[in-house]
Amino acid sequence: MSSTFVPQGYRERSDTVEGWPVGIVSYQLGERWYCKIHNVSPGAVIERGSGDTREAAEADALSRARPKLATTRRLRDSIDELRTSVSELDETLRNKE
Amino acid sequence: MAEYAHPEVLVETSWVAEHLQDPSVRVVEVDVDTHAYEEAHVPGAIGWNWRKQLCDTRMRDILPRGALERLMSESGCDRGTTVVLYGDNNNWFACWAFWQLKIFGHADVRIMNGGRNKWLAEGREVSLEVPRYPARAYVAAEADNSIRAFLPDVMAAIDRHSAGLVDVRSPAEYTGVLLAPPGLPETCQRGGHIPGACNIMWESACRADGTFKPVEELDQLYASQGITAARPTIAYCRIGERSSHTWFVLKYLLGHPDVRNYDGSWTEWGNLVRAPIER
Repeated sequence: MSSTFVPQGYRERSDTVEGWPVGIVSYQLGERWYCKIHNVSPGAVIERGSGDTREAAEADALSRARPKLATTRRLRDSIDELRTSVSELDETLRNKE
Repeated sequence: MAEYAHPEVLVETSWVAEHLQDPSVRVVEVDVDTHAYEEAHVPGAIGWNWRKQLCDTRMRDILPRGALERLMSESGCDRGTTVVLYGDNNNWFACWAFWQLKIFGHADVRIMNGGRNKWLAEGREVSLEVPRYPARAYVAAEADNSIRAFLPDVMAAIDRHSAGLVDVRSPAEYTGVLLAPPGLPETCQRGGHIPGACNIMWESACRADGTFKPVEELDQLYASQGITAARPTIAYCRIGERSSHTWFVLKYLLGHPDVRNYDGSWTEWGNLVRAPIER
């Protein structure tokens, strides 16, 4: 097996997963396709995947990225709910005064 | 078009391709994604893992001097080696490595403009082979902390308005909507930013292909928020790596004389009891 390759089919595209914009990069090295899912900002890789085709590599990476992105969404929602409940409590206390 | 203040610190992919066999040049890949190097890399490049090789996890610190000397020695570098750093995601962690090498006084460090993605996108040859280079003697300089900000420096900057603070995270992190970028673990107790800090995202300094924007655009980008050469600047993010990218831009591309990277960043400030914050 050769240890050098010329990468082919490099592609970057955007999508939305679990409510978050993500970047999806894919390319072929030798016979194998590789994919990386990154958050648009800061661009850190969330998950990677590989497969015999571009579609298979993307599906592999997306299947692992989804749970992580869902966790962040739940955390953000929890912060929002906490802020709302604190605001409501403040309002209640002000009304009592 | 005006030239960068220090154009010698930036090389193009074509320059690297022409110097792959140059024994005075050591090409080093440093990625956010620590598995990317194993997938394939620039032929002859060695890989540094930022989680294991570019920080002291026990002390929550950058590499100690002795560890950096060992890393450079084992990488086949001496004090005269031209170290060319590149990595994924617009050279994010390549700049983190650049900053540490400058702290320990390595003279000739360069960044490959556009990084790993540009190399792949251009269809340039990559390799699976992990090269081994003969060890060389390496003695680092004493740490130059004039390019690094610690917590007291940031507190003083706030109290005395002695430096401009630039938060290079996303607007959602800056405003406290998010504690960490989507998909990454949170590392602090509360969201927001250091009082008085402006928000200029680190990647605003790059074009779509990952290369740095022209000097005029960079100057306008930072000057529009009051970040100029006339005043010291402290850059920060979550753990100090995104801000090393901005530090590189301000210090070497724009030539600002006094720029520090606060690597304690929001992970430190956001967890401090009674430290003031803004949202």
